[in-house]
Amino acid sequence: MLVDDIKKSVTCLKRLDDAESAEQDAAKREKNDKEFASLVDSFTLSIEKLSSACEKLDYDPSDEMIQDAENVIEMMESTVSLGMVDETKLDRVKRKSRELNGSLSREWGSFHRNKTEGILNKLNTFGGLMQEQNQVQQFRNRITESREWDGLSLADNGVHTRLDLLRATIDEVAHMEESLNLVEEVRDFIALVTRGKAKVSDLNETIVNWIQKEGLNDKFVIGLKTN
Amino acid sequence: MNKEIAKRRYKDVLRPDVINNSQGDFLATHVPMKNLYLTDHAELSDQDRKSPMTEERIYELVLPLGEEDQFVLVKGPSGAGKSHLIRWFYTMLELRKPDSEIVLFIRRADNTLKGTIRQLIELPEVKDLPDRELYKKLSSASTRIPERELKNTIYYHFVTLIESDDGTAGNGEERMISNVDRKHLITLLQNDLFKKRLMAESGPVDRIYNKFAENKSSDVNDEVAEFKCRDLEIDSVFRDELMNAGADQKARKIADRMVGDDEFVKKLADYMNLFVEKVIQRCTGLEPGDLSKVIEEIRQELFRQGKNLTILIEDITAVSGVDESLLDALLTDRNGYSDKKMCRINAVVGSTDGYYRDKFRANIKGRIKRFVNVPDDVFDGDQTGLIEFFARYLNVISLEEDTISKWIAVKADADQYPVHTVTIGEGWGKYKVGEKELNLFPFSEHAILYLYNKQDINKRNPRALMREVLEPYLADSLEDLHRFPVRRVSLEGVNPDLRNTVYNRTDLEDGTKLRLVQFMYIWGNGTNHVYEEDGIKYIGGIPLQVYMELGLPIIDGKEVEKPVVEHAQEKRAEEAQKRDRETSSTVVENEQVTNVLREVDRWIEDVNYKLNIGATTKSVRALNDVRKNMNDFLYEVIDWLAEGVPIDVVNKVKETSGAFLVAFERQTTESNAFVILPASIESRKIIEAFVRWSEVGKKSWDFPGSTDYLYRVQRWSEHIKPEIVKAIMQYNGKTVNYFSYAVAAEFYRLILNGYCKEYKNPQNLTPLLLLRKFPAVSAENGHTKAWNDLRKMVNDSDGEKSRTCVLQYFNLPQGTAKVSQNYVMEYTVFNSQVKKVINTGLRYAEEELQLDDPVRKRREYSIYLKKIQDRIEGVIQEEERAINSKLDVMRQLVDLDTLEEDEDVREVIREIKKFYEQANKSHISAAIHDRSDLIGKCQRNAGMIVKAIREALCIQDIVDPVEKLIRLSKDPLKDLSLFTELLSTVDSDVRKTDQEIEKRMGNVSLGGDNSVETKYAREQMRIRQCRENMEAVKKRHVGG
Repeated sequence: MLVDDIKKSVTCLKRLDDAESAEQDAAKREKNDKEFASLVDSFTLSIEKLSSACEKLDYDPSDEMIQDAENVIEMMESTVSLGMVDETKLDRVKRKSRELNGSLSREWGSFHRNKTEGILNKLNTFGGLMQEQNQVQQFRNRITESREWDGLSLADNGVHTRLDLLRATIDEVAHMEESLNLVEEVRDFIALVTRGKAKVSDLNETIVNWIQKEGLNDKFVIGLKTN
Repeated sequence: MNKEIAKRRYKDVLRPDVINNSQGDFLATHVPMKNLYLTDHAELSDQDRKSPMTEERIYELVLPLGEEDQFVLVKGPSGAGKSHLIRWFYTMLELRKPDSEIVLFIRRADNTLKGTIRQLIELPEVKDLPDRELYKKLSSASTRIPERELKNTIYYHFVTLIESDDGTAGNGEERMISNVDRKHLITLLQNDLFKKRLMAESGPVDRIYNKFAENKSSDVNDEVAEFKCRDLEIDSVFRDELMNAGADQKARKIADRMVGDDEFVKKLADYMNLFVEKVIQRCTGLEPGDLSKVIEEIRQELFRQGKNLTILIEDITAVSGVDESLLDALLTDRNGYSDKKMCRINAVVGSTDGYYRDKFRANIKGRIKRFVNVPDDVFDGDQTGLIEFFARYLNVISLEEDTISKWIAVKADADQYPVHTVTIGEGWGKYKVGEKELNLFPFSEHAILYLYNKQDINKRNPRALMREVLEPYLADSLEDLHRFPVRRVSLEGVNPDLRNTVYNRTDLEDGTKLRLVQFMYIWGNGTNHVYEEDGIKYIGGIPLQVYMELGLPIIDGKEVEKPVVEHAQEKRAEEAQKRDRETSSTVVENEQVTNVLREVDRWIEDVNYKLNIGATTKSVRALNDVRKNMNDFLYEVIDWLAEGVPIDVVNKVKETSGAFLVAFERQTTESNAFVILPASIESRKIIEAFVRWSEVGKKSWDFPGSTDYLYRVQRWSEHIKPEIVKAIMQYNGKTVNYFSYAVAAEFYRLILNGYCKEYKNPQNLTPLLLLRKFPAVSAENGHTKAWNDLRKMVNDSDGEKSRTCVLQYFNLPQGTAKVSQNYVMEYTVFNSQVKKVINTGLRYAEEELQLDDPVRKRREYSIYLKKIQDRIEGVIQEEERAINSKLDVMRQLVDLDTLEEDEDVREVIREIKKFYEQANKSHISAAIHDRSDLIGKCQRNAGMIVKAIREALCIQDIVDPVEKLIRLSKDPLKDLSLFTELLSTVDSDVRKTDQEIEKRMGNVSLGGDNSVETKYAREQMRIRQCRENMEAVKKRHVGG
């Protein structure tokens, strides 16, 4: 139909304009190339993070996210299909890429919360019982640092990325809990104490024996409930 | 008259040119000629005419039989009496000549060269000639050859002579026709069709044949043996026949030139005529000098015998073919050839004026020194001679031949002149010759003079009088006296009292009335005077018994005293002249009346005679006037509106040429009349009334006896009025309906001009529409040529006529105006009549139209409507074709279903505008052309475009053609065309643009290797890496 042909033709005309403009403007072309290269780099990094998160943390992105990522890939290919950067397309793919990044950040944030919530609880419960309080704090720091998607690939220590450190933290906290060798009754009591809900009546012989045995008498105090 | 003898004899006596006519008859009928002129030059001057001579005096001067050679040409018009005079010379010579004078008389015989030669070889002087070879040659020339064979011989001699000619006809002078024309003429002469034409009866070959070989009729044949222009004139019909018959190219070429080129045809005829003499000579086997040699030998022989020669030739045309050499021989003066020893020759030769003028060569003319001129009217001023001429012929036809022979035996002694025994015609009048009385039946003195004066001035010569008066009246009287006189002569300048008396008789048939009136005016004295003489009752100068003999009724005349009659024949001329003067003075006064009445009288009596209404004679004009005046009178006196006839219907009849309220029975020109005036005395009176009104009363009823005429006319018009009123509104039992056709045609005009767009179908049209002013539209539109052609046609004069008819038909004229532009309509009737037309859907089948209406002005509306209806289907087809073609284009470019509202069209236009804006921005050549006007028009007419599309789609489902026409009158094509033009233009521009983009893209250079693989290898690699990573993510995702 004519209207469709017109539209196509108009698009082509714009592209032609760009191409011809670009041909006439080398600086602009160079800038576009740079921007395109930067975009590709940044996007590649994001995809690497995504891939890494999936692999290391069992992160599973949504269908939309996958589709969007693939669209961006196609758009990037199309941007240089004429042998040069199509400025319009570049703008569009940049926008799309930004949107995708935002979505990834939000989705990662959500995943991160779910993933680290239990770990943080454990650190709160058992951290105080630990001899190495610095280490507990380090765990906490790592979890906090890995909360932002953008900084996920940063290697703060110059060796491991935040994502790797998160993975290590998760593993080390689990190991620490295991090393405390707690029975079920003690575990529940500690959890109540951590939440400020433990009553004197909750104390039983097993618990008292565990406190004495572990020399933790000074660690527990009795207080009055105000309301 | 002696009826029994006359029946047998009259033809022989009255046809004096036949071979076996009797010398006795000649003498017995001879009346001395008195008006002859002897001159030394050919043409008579006024001075010459002052000295007429008698035949006796001429004889004395011309034939003194002296010693000098003499040549006398007796010259005059055909039939004037030249032959008669020469024959009388011969008779006198025979009686008076000395023994030493040999007289050779070459009669006209059967008017042919062969007949002349036969006479010559039978002469003892020729039989005794020493040169037997020449005699044999002459004998052979007179041999009979079958007509067909001889005619073919004549024809092919012409072809052969022309074939071997060089265009000068052997004269060696200037060429008369070019060689090319001559060759073409030969081819044409060889064409069968053309040959058949030239050899037809009365054609040139027939004329030549009749002149020298055989004359089939006993009529005098003065016609010259030659080609006349009319023989070679070719009309387009004959030329087409030649073409269709596959005539040779050369024949076609000359035939083409002969169509309408009188000068060329005359040249050809003149050229052909140069061969006539040679052809005749070849056909007879004679050579130019043969006859002259005969004459020369006769003269030599007679010289030896001490005798002289007088040769008399009745008619020089009888020696056509050798005439020139013969004249040369007769003009040879022996004084110039004394060695030849020839006798004296006295030659008297007859020739018509025309033949002398055209055929005598100048050298011959120069050698003739004596002319006897015989005038056409030998009886001019000689009424006694005229009556004697009639009386003698009438006497001789009633005499047995032996009676005449006996008279001749006594040397035609005048005292012993025989007189016939009257068996019929006693009392008809007598002519006194000496003491003897010759019965004039079937004429009277009055009749002879009257009929003589009625003859055309050129036909008052003896031959014409015999042919046209004596013989026909004689034959009529011999056939049936109870119908005599059969012939009708105009009764000019007569006192109409007697005629009115006869015509007013109701007990007589029209034919009888006419016969009686003719007889009493021509044979009698034209009065109803009754008197007695010697116990015989005379009515109008004619004895009672004559009326009874003819079976004519006797009228009650007016008793008068017996008139004193001077019988002296010398007084007759004076009386006749006096009567002529009286007659001619009255003729001028009433010429038209008499012409008309003469014509009408013939028409009434002869059921086979057609009233001569055409454009050729005087009587016709007067009759035409009568018819016109009769019709005008009726138009005036009938109160048409009171009779329920719209004035328009009357005007239609009035304006149609050839359509009359009243015309005559049996008239020569066809006319569509509502009432036919029968051929009767009563009609005659009406006709007479109108011709008198016009000619005597000078278009008024102020003339003697007008009261009676006016009364008749009024009674007659009242009588025929109902018939006219009925006839004018009907024909062939059908009521005239041209108003309806005019209404339908006017509606079509309105539709085609776009004034009925809002009516959807013909049934919605209203009578009021017709009363509003809707001028012809000439603005530009989107219609097809067929539509615009038809529109132009309906806006033309025929359309104007229809509109006028629609408005005028029920208009009630105010005042005296017959046609008024101020309309006072009889609206109720108008309304109902128009509605009837609307209910037909404006469709009239051919049989419903009145294409056979005899009144052209009414019929025109049927023809006009048919013309429109015949074209409507074609117009619709062409419009639909054009619409479909536009729709097809649109369908290819846009989805018509999406164009439901104005905004849909505007949306398309917006896209188009964008395209051109971008194209302009991108410097695309398509943008060079300014489409803004077209785009703007479409934008402004977006609503109309949508409507046009809707209308166009809707029209396809309509069946009724008139409804379609109304829909099409909205001109959907205009907006469709506009939009289609835009779409097509844009489509074309888009295609061109795409090509241009591709081309320009190919030209874009970004420096170095532009391939994506090279330039963006790193990025490509990363993208591939991304893809791989994503593949891994997806795998895990799907697996999870």
